[in-house]
Amino acid sequence: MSEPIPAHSLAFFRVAFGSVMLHGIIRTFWLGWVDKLFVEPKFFFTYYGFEWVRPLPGVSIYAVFILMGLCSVLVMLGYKYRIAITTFFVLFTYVELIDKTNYLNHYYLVSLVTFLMIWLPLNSSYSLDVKRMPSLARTEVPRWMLTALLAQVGFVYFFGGIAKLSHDWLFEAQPLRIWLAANSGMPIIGPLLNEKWVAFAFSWFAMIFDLSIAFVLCFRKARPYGYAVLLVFHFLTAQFFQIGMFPYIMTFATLGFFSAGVHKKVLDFLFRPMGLTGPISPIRSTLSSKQQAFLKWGLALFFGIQVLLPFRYLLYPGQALWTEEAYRWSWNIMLIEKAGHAEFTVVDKTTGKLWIEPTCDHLTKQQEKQMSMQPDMILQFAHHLEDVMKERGYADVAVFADTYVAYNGKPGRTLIDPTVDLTEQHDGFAPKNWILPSDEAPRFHLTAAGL
Amino acid sequence: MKKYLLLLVLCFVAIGCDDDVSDNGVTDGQRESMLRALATNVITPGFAEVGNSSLVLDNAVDAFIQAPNATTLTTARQAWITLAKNWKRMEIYQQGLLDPDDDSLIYKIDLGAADFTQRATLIPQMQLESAINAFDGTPNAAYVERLPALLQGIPAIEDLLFNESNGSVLEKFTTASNAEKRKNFFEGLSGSLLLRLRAVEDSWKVSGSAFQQFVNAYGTDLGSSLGMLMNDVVDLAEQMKNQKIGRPLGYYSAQVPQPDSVEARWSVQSLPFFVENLDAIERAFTSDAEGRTGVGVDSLLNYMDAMVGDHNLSAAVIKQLATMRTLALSLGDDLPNAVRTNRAKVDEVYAECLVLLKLLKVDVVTQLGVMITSIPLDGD
Repeated sequence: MSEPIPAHSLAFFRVAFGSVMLHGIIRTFWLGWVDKLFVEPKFFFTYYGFEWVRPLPGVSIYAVFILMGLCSVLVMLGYKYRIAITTFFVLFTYVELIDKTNYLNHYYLVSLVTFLMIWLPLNSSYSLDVKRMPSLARTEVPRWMLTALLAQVGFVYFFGGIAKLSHDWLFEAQPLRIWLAANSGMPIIGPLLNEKWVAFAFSWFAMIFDLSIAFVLCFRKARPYGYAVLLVFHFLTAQFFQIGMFPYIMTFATLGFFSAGVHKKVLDFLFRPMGLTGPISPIRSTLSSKQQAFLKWGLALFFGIQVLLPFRYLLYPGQALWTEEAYRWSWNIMLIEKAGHAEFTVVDKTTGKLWIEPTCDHLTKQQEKQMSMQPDMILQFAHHLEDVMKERGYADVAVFADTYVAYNGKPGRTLIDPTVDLTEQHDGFAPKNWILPSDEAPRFHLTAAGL
Repeated sequence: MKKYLLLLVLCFVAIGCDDDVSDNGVTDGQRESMLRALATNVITPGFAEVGNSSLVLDNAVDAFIQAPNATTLTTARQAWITLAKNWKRMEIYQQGLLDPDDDSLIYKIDLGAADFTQRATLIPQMQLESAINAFDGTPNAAYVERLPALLQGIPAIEDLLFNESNGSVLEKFTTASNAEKRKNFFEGLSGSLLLRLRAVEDSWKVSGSAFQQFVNAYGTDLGSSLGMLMNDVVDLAEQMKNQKIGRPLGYYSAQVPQPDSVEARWSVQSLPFFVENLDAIERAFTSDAEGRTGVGVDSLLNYMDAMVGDHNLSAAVIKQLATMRTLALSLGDDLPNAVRTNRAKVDEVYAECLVLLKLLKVDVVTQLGVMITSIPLDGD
């Protein structure tokens, strides 16, 4: 792992990832999502332990996105690289922490990769930093630096594949049967997508692809074929499913698996016109033993946590797809299609008065949809209602949730115990015993009795 | 290696062809048949009825304006009730279905929930009076079309025909100082509504653009007809629960009843309209109307053996609609009065609305493989 490899492979990764990030930021602006996701909502679902994260007031959140776009350009050019990538990581992670209704696996990936990029000299060749400060130039870096970045990309595939080893995915072909059928209007292949066997073929192929592709790309001879399959796979997912930047991030990031010669050709093509090249005389990256130890242990911890996180669902009772406990940060990619309804009854304990608080008065439609099927958000919203009621002069209230959820084509069930006062419950890592089992018969007629 | 791959392929094909695996595979052909049956049996005749009754209303309004008296007023009021009831059976077709080229059209015909919560206040009446007084000239649909949606369409006409809270309707059209302006304004209002509803009717004729787009978008993607239809069905069920029953009961106002926050407050038609809405959902669900039958959403669910608990899902939906209809009819026409005097029964209606909403929004939508949408965001 310590043997030297050409430094321009790191530079290539920097340019590839920076360009995808820039595309992502422009796309977010273009689609008007900054406003819809960060300006319009009146309430935000923060993550446990990150309740202090608040969105910047009003349109100033636009400045954050503009700054991220600028940082992406600087990263690509390798100008003030460390400052740019650190700023990008902080801002991107901040934006993701604002509201968990926006959680996506590939956003998590971006945070992880950009965090890694902070510690690695991706600006040591083909960069404006080198032109400005030639002492930063390197021709060679230890192999582990590139391996760390590629391992991070490989983790997504591999653990994404592990997560697909489930009954729903393999033996029901869900949720792909729902999603593929939604594309049956496509020309030529559309009718095929309604076929059950096609959904099974896709499910099994995706599982095998995810489990194996990172390893296939490591072998020089198999790499071109593996990448060709990868291209087809991500092209199809981009066509069939609305998964945003995910296919593009993976398609660009996996180019890092190719040989240094390929990277150099691309970089020469891009940077020669700007008068930027890699250093000519050999300069090896030098790290002190302290720095090496710090990075070694740091990386072991970084990846060790990531190995454990996907399996933490084993600590919780019930189906993870139903309870969504330990669901995030586990590369559970495209595993559920859910629909739900949640209604909240507030009881003023002082007077005994009770009423239904309309969720639409507090949440956007998107937040409402996400909240209605995720227990931790339902709990968080109940506590928010408690706070709102206090502001309205109701000092002591109870909040009950009437929920009904279905996932992956299964019949609807009651998700949350409707007799539990959610203001008495608190978020945390302990199992939420107020989530009802997924096989319990649904409870209808909950609200009318008391009202 | 090749042997293993072949074995794997055979495995998933075998699983995929296994009839025991619950099937989600309604074909495009079945969905297209369903959409065609719904359009042919329900939507096209329904909008034709709406168009015809809007012409009857326009004529009745003309007669009333020419000779405002108790007889012509009664005729105009009856014509309005007929049109509004026909409309309540069709208002379900909203998101891109009413007119694929004009999403805001619905608001100019009937502002819906946003309207009748405001009509509990004096604001619409004051704005309407201002618009009448500012109206200077001959009857003019173009003038009306520039007004806010609150002052247009079916609810605004109800206000002019039924609202006697600040003087009798006949006096306002005969002896009031602005009687002439009111007449001209009313004529413009009725003419504008007629034009809009006729355009919708034309668009839904078999050769019309809305009809063709509807039957040809037979997928389950975001812009599919089935997707838009189910979004509309769920929206109406949600509106019936929250706005039409829940709000007057005070469910959303710390249990302080708001009996005047009802639909069709002045004509006292809230519950009849509620029943028409139930019929609308049933027709959209079954594709059956006035003896015409065909493939409906219920047929698709039956084909898939869709269940809720131990019950057949489509039968559960139909039974739920029947339960709600029986309950609503037992309350009479006057919802504000029922809220004041028969609250427990109205509470029951609310509870049944919630059950219907759960069935439609969660079970039916999941089984059909369509999505309830807000904005098309990314997912993974």
